[in-house]
Amino acid sequence: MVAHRRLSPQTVAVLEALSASSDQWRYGLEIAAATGLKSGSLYPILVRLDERGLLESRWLEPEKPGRPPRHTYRMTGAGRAALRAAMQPTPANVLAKGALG
Amino acid sequence: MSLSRVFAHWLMGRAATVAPTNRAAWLQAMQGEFETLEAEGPALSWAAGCFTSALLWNIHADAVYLFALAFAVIVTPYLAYPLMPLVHLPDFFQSPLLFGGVLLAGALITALPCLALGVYRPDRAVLTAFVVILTDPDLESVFSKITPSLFRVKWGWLFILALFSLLVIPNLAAAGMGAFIGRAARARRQHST
Repeated sequence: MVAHRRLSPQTVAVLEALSASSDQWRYGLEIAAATGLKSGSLYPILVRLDERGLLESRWLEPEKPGRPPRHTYRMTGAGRAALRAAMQPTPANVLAKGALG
Repeated sequence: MSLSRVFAHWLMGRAATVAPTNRAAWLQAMQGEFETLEAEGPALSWAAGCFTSALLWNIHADAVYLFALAFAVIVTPYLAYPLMPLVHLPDFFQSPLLFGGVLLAGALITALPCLALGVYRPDRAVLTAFVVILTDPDLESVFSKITPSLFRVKWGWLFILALFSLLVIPNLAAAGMGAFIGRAARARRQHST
């Protein structure tokens, strides 16, 4: 069972970035560029989303030899449901959207 | 290689050593992205973020562990409190069954936090066991009340060794078992993902 904790505006932004191409695997750098989050904010969010089953991840072979493999992310069904719930016009969500600007 | 790039690489290296073991894969993920960054400013900013995350994960992991350990050290003696009236029975020291039973029950109670913390932090299992052993009030009572009288008895040192083993072995065994369970659970989780 997925715990229905309220998502932070930054977490919602990450889920929105992933939902823009929900079937595609996306790199951390792409999500950072789409959300404007720095690595120090983005990865703790990705870890939490992964632990809560809201996203799935997989390793891709490096494009250039000698480079490490890259980790990619995709939203799960639970992630889509959590995003839909976060986008519902409740007073808390309206306030959170306002805080994100 | 520029100074900025050297510093960024140094930060990534520090991040990898600072991060707790359960976040190693995430550090590799961050490293993978870092290696694709050509521009120096974004690379340094990315590395600084990785280092900060690793540091916070480390602090968080240790804070939870230390809090749990402190809780275990403080609360565990109270769990053994119901055994205390038995210690004051007149024939407590004369009855091997009663004496041994109470000691064994006390040892098992202090072994519980060692088991739980061993599962949570397999890398700290031995440390956990020794902290619990050394802060166990029974250790003090065994050495101050029981041991001096046993030293006057022939082969008394064997009893002292047995008492000490009862305090040490269950905790170390429980911590080791916890570490085994914790490592197996992590391996299973990694295998399934």
